[in-house]
Amino acid sequence: MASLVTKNLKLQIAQRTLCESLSFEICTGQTWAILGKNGAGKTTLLHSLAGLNKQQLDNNKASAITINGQAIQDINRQQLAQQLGMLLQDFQDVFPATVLDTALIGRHPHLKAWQWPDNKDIDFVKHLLKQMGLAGYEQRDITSLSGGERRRLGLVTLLGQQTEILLLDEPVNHLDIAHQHQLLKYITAEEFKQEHAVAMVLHDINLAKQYCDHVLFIYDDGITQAGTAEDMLNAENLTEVYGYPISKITTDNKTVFTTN
Amino acid sequence: MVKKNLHSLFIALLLIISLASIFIALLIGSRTLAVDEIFKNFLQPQQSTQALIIQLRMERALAAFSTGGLLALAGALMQVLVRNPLADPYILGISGGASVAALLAILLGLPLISLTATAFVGALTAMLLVFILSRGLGNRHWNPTRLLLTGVVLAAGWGAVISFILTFSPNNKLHSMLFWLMGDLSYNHSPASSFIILFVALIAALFLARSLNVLIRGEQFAQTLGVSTQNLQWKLLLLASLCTAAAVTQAGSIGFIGLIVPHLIRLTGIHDHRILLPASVLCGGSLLTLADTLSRSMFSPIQIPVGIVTALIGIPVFLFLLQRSEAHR
Repeated sequence: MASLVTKNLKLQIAQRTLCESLSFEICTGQTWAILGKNGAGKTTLLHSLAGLNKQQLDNNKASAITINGQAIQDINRQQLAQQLGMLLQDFQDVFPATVLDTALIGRHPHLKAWQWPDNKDIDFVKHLLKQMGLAGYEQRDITSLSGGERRRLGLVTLLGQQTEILLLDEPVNHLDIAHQHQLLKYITAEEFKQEHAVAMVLHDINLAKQYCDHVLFIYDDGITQAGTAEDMLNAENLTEVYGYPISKITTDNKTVFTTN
Repeated sequence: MVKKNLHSLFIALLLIISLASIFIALLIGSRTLAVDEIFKNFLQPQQSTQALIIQLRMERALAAFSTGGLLALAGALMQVLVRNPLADPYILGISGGASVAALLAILLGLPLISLTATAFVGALTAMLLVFILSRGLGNRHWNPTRLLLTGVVLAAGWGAVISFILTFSPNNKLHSMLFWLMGDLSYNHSPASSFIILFVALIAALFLARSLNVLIRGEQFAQTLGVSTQNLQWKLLLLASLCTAAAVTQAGSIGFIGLIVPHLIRLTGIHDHRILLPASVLCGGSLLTLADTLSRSMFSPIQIPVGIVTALIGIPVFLFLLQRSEAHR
């Protein structure tokens, strides 16, 4: 059972407070959606949770992030990478590399300095490629992939890392509607949920409603609000989060949020 | 497992090429030796003209090999550090510092022996300048873009100083200055120290090699996979700079080896730095040894600076690579 807990987390960027005092807990079995306007601080929050900006924690002594009961500053990077993985918003592919090698990079935290990925690693990663609809792409160069294909490969790399906690920054960005649902179905399937704690930044409220059981709102002024999707996702709250009128339509037992 | 065997085979092949390149360097020159003359000399060292020729050529070949290895290693490391395929060992202006110091030494008429030491001090000065300025005052965070910009600007500055010195130098000194600037291996004939630096740097780099496979794909990405990037980047900068300083000190600014050799190795499909780094060293060493043999035999008895030969080989090869990579996209 993995957990990621924040206590009185305060985040600032260039004098602006992104979140004032955030306390919440992500556990195995839960799927969290992080919602907020552009620039509200969703990505910065995710980076902090992933230990990518430890300086923020040094600056605010009252803030704390704990991973599986241990303060994030006290975990060395390699151990952290075995417990927590993150899908970044974009990739910087400058040098050529094959799809298979890129997928295998996810095994990095589990291998020793002079160890090469063995057949078990390769089979495992090939299986993941197949799951994400990238079978047969193994020898393709990553610079020749489309945005959506690169995104799915990114998820394969992340899943190959085999961490219990997953942080995803806009996982369905660049994906067509079919792949959006396939990907979200995969990471919210019951057997997957039993072994993972997931938090993701989403821009599509309806996807959040369909696939996530918990929601974290980040408002403009550093106020945050966390709770179950059921309690939180209503037209009134969403209108306030986005500063734009949003209403709810119910047809054939389906609830859909839309703009007026 | 299959891949691992292929890797060993590849390194073995490069080792054979390396030995062959040194052997060719012993054979060819203003007086061409026969193969059996060289073997005879190795079996029974004797005092003869041949023996002297072989000894001189051997020293020069080893100097060329170690310089090529240092340049290729520095290039491969620098490309990861600034995550730019166009990076070469000279991009941060370290060779500029060495050149200014070397030209001043020539201008002041210091003895040849002290030229090496002076150039090394110049390289270290340039290195320190980049270290300090790229970090900024009171700024603990450090990033490759800032490093690259700082280095490029400093390199331009050194270039201006070099032109200034050339403008005010008497004609009789200009010739040796130009040779030094274009890269020339005829000054230095004691390759032992640069071999030691090459060996130590390669071993140190091999300990970082696996993390480089991740860092080359992005700094934040590497962090999410457990790499302490700040720490790693400092070590990379230090290693690459030291290799560059040692190479420039030995032979002036020889172009293209540091830029194209890592790309040549990547073209064979090798991207893992645990293989790429030693392969670059062997390939860079062989290439420069062969280029130097050409440079002293093509217009014999006139020797041309080896930098001209590496550029003449390097430019078409590099343009070909560029075309190829664009055709793939």
